[in-house]
Amino acid sequence: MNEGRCIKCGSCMRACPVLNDLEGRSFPGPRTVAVDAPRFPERYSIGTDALMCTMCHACEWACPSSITITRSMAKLREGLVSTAAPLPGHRRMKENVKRFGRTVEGDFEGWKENGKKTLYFPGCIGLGRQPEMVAAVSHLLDSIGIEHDISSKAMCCGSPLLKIGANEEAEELRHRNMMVFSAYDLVITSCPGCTYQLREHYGINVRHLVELLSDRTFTSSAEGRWALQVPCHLKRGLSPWAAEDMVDTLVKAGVDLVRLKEEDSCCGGGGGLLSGFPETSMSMARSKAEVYVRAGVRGVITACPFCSLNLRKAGIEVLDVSQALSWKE
Amino acid sequence: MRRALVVGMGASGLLAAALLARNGWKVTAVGRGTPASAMSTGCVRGNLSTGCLKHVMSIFQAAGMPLVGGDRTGATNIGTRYDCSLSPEPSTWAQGERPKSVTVLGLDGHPSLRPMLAASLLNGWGHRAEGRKMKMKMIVPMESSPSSFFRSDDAIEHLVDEVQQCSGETVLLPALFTLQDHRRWNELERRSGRKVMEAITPLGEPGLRFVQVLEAGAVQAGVELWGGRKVTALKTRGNNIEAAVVQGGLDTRSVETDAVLMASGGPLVDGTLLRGTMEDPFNTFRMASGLTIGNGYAHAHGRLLAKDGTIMENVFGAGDCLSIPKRKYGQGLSQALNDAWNVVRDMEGV
Repeated sequence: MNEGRCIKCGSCMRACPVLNDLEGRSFPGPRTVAVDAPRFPERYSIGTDALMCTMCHACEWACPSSITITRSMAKLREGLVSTAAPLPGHRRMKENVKRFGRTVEGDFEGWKENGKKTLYFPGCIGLGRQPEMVAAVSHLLDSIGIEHDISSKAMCCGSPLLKIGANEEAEELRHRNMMVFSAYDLVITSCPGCTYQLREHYGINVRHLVELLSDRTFTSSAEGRWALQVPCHLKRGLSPWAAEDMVDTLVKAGVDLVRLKEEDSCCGGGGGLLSGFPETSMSMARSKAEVYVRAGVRGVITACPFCSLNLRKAGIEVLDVSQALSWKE
Repeated sequence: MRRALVVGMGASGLLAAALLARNGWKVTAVGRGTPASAMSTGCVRGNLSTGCLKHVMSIFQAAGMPLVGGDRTGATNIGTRYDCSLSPEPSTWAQGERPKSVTVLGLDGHPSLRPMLAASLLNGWGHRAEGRKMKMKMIVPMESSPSSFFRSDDAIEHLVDEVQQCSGETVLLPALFTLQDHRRWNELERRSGRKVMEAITPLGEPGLRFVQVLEAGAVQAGVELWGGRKVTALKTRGNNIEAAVVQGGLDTRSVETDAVLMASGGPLVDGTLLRGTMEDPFNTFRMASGLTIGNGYAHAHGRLLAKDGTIMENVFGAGDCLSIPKRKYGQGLSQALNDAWNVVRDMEGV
C-alpha cells in the first residue's frame, strides 16, 4: 500500500461523509483509520472503527497523493475477523448467507431459467427487498431485446462479506457463482456494489444496467422534478463515465432533473454501515433527505438498491433508473 | 473545432480551460485529487494582470461569491496579519477600514480558529481584541470540517445568538460556510447587527470554495470536466501529442486532441514525480536542471520541451508543474492564474 505518501493535508477528512455527520462523530476518520494506523500500529487501536466507513471512495478521490484509502480500509477489514467481535447486524448477515446464500431472505418468484446466454444478476437487496425494481429491470431488458435468465442458483456476490472480514465465505460464494456464470456470455447487474465485485474479484464480463443504456433513446413517465442520488460505487468505484452516461440517458428521456452539488455524496447505505451502525446510516440518509426536500423535488432517481433502500427509509420517494425509463419503439 | 486536453483541475487548469472554451475550443479537463489551490486560503497575494483580474472577478461574481480587490488585509485563523490583493468580501478590510474592536469567536474544542491565541496576536499588531469560545451542543471532533456543524437552521440560530453576545464591534469567525451557504455571511451580519469576518484559513472551506467557483466557471464556458480521473499515458508523434489515455474507477478511455495543456501541479499534489529529484511521470518531457523546490517542466514560450530539448509543438504548461527559478512564498495562486491567462494567448497561435 502507499500510505507513506500522506502529506497531512486533511483533504480526506474534509471529504468524509461519515466523519462530517452528526451521528458519525465516533468514527476516527479515514486518515487515522486507513493511513496512520497501518503505518503505526503501536499507536492506534482500530478495532471495529474501520467498520464505520461506507467505502464511498470520497476520501480516495480527495487525496492529492493518490493513496488508495478505500483499498487500505478493505484490507483492514479483512484482518478484523480475528481481532474483533462482529456487530449484531453483521453477524445476522453472515448467518443469512450461510442459510440462504444471500444476505437477506426473500420470497422472490420471478426466476427465469430458460438457458439464455445473458444473465441478469439482481443481487441480494434487489431479490430480497426490491422485487419491483428487479421486475422493472427485467422488463426494460426485454423491451430493448436483451433476452436473459434470472438464476435462482446465483448467490450473494460476496462484496458485503469481504467488507466484514468474512473472506473464506466470500471465496466459497465466488466458486459457486462462477459455476453458474460459466453458462453465460454476459452478466448484467443493477447494483454497483455487485458490479464492482464481479469485475474486480471475479474478472468476468459484467455490465451495470446503466452501461447498456447510453446508446439508446428512452422515454420517461417520471412526472415532476427529480434529483439524483448518484451511487458512490457507480461513480467513484466503477466508472465516472458510467455515472455521467446515466444522467445523459435520463435527460434525453425527458426527465426534469435538478442537479445538486450533494447528489453524489454518500447516503450512508453502503459498506455495511446500514446493518452495522443503523443510527449513523439513518442520520446520513436524513441529511440527504433534507437537501432534497429543500430543493423542492418530488424524489430522487438512482441506480443502486442500497441507496434506494436507505433514502426510502428517510422518507424520500426513490425511483431506480429502470423504473424511470421506458423503451421508445 | 480545435480540441484541447487540459491535464489538471486546479486554479491554472480550470481558468485556462474556461478561457479556451470561451474562445471556441472543445475542451476536456482531466484531474484527480484535491489541488493545491483547494488547500490555499482562497485569497490571492500577488498581483494579477489587468485582463486576468477582470476575468477572474467576473467568474466569482457569476458564482455568487464576489471577490474584493486592492490593498486588502485580514486576520488568519491563528491571528496573524495577512495582506493580499484579492479575497472574498467577509475575509478582509480595505486600507483605513480596520476594525476598531474585535471579538475572536472560536468553536470550543475545535482547532479551526484558536480564539485566545488569535486575540493575543491581534492585540500584538494593534487591535483591541478578545477571545471567546462558542459553546457547542455536541462533541466536535478535531478532524471534522467546521462547516459540518452549521448546516441546519437551528445551528445558525445558535450562531446568531453567540455573535450577539460578543462585545467587539467586529466578530472574527472560523471559515464556516461552503460555497452554497456563502450567503449566510450576510444573513449573520443582518441578524446580529455586527460586522462579521471570516478568518483567513488554509486547508479548509475557503480553498475548496475557490476551486468550486473556477469549476463552475469552466462548466459555464462549456468545458467537459473529467473529475476523479487521471491521464495515465500520452500518445506522441514526433513533437506532437495526439491522444491521451485516461483512467477513472475501473474504466479507461482514450481521448484525441489537437493541443495539450499541462497544469498538473507540483509534487505536493502528485503532479510532477518526486524520486530524489523531480521527474516527469509521463517520461516524455524535459525537467529543468539545477533547481530544487522550484523545479518542474522546462519550458519556452509557454511550451514544454521534449526530453531531447526540442520544443514540443502542441504541448503547453501553466502553474505549479512548471519550473520557476525564483519561486516566492505565497505567490502560487497568482502565478497559476496569470500563467493560465498568458498560456491561452500562446495556444491561440497553434
